[in-house]
Amino acid sequence: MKPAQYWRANKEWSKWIGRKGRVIAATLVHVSSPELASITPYSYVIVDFGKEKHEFMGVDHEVLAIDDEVECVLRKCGTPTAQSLIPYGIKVRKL
Amino acid sequence: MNISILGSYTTQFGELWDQSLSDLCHEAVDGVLSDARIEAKQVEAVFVANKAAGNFENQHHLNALVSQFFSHFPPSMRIEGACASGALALLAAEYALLAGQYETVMVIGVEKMTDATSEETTHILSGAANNQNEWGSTFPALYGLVTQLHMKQFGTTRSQLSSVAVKNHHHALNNPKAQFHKEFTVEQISNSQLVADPLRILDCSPISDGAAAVILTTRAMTKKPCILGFGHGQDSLDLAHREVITTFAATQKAASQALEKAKVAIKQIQVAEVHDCFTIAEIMAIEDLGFFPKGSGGHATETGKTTIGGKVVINPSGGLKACGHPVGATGVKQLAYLSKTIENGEYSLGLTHNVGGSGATSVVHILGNKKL
Repeated sequence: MKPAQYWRANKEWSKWIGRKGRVIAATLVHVSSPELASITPYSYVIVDFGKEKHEFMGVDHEVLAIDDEVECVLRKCGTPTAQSLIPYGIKVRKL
Repeated sequence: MNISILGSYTTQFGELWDQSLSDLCHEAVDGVLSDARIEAKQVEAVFVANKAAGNFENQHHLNALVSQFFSHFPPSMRIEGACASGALALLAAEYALLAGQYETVMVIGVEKMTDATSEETTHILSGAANNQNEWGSTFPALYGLVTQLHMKQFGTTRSQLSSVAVKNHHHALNNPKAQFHKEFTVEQISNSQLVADPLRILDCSPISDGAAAVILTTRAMTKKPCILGFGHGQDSLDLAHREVITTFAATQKAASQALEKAKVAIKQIQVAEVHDCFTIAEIMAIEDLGFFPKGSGGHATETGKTTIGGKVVINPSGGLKACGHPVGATGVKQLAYLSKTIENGEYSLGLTHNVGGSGATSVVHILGNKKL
């Protein structure tokens, strides 16, 4: 993630942190892009927040399933190189 | 509609280490000119379909790259719409022909993918998703979500998914240009390595190199296959924002438009090349196009209704799954392959279905051996 993209994305964090919803679809990703390879397998889910739905990664090594109640949290969301920013972003964890 | 397919050509699909992006384009241009039996200078414009040569090969400006193969440097443009790039380039060409801008044009689709690692390819292809709202997604992950919901909602089974791959690998045995000439059993597909649960490696179309080209014309042609109709549908790029996830509304819209333009009913279609980037994608395609009722695509495939001798032959080329999926070439290859079977008299009415991303873009063409 480039620094400018990261800066734009973090302005959205406060909108999501602490929000609770229900998983309506879940998959466990075993093969990912290089920057996420170190944390595979990870869950990738669609969450229904009532008035809107959104896609998120699950927190590391937590296997999520349909109907799980989840909460949005701030977590590291990739493996940085020596020169890059440590990427953080919104993930969901099981309640 | 008065557009004939004057010629078609498809290169070998596969891991073509000895051929560059430029080599593939050159072969497709020479091949289609030879098949159409016209002089290069008769091509008035070229439409180039490609998804990611800039990422895979650091080669942009493909319109100029292809135009320079002609001594008269015809006007050329490159069209990108993820995996639907090929069919979108066909649409652009058709609009130009129908507007009367040109009489004869070439459409070429190309992708050179195998110089990258599978992780790099996963990253490049994930660019077809919304990289702001779908961080962490991969192509198989998005289709994995769709698969899981389809299984839950309609009872689609693991063995029904596998039967799609078994059929398409069987069909590919008769296509010399296919990437794979190898049969698989349901058990082999069902027990292959997980990629994004419940999708396994043998549910996925491969990483491929290849190119395909067609020459379209509005000149009067009595013995050449014709484009009878086309349609183009769009839906939300974000999977989560769709009203229904287990139906691709873009495909339904595109099919409805194409059938209406062609003035044919879906039950008249004898053969179709559909976008089976994953096994679930073919099951959804045959439902959303209207060949089978919603939720019954898996059962129809498992019981032989989509192979030779069934209700409709789906993916006689082997589809993306076994013929290969050089992304930018796929939509053009579908038309090239079917037009040749129609020209040879195997079928008289066919359909092609090309999808971009996880269903956000869909293009359907109807082609036949005469103007209805």
